[in-house]
Amino acid sequence: MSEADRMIAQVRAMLGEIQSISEDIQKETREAIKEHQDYLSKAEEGDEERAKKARAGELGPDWQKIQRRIDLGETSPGAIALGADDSTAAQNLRRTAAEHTEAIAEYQREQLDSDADSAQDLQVAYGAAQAHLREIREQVARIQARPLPTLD
Amino acid sequence: MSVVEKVDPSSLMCTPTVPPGDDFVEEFESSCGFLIGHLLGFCRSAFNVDPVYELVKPLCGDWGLMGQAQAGWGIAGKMCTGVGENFTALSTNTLDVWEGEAADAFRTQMVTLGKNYTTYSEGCDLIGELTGSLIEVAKSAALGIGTLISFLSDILERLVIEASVPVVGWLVGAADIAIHIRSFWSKFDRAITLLRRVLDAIEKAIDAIYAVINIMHAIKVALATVAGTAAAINATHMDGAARNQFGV
Repeated sequence: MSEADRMIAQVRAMLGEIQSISEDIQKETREAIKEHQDYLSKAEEGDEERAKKARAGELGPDWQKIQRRIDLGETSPGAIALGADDSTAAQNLRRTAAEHTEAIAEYQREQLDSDADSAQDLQVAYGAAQAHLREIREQVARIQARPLPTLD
Repeated sequence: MSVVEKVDPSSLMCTPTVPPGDDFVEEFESSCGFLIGHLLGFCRSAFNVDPVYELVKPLCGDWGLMGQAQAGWGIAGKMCTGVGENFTALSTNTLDVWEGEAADAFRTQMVTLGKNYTTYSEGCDLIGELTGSLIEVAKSAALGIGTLISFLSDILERLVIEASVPVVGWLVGAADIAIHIRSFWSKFDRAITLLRRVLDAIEKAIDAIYAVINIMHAIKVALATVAGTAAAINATHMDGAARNQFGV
């Protein structure tokens, strides 16, 4: 085998590695879909709990009106969150949500600083995301700094 | 007997094109924007992060141009194959009309040139395949990240709904909020992982392209040596070569 043939075989092996990355991505996407289905099934229990409270008026008059319309199929939580429902009650709820945004940020900060066991899952998820975000920024910079081969 | 090209490489030359509507990034960017656009302000305020900027934009290069480059390398590969076949053919179609040391040296060199151009062709094909594989990786990642963006949108929707309760102390004891926040970062991290796979593929492709270019440089040096040797041999055997007019 010539030197060129040996190097071409090496490049073919690298090509195989790149092609396998597509399969890894598809596998990871399938895992994410499954994880999200689990999340949704847990979240739906909370949705039902909130709907009961809303019907009973425990969440205020706007939520009671909105829940009535949700029950009639005239709107949905998604339409309220995404701004597709422009009724006065929906606008009031969105305004309240916007006012509470800082409270969510504060809650997250408290959880990240907490020593409680219950905060650990959130700390791990947040820490991993932030660390990986930094790593890919560095990786992008490394790739951009690499000179391209010349073809002269 | 006359020497004719077995293949006309110039006939293979054309402008590389990709099928229209093959730009997956445009659709990826617009569908992600549609999915999460209305929630970005909330997301930035609550989590100090913009999923479109961090997860979608890095993938939005000119992949259409990459598709053209892939086709271009394929064309270059075919042209090199044609040139190689022309050189190799010279080793056989001069047998009847040209004999002697210079003729043998000439034919040996033509076979070597033919092989070198075959390797050039393989190098071009490899770069084309590397480019194509990168596009496939990016397409898979776009599909996966698009899916994860829709999941992030689901989670943000739920957080907006939780936060829309106008009751004093709404957050106290809201265990669901912690679940939503944790899920948000977990999905965000999964999307980053997919993006990282694309970057890994790009780094590997750059390494591979460097290796291919090294092969081509080595061949170029070899070709220069071959040309020099052929000239020297022909010069020392000019009578025989000239008598036979190089078989033409």
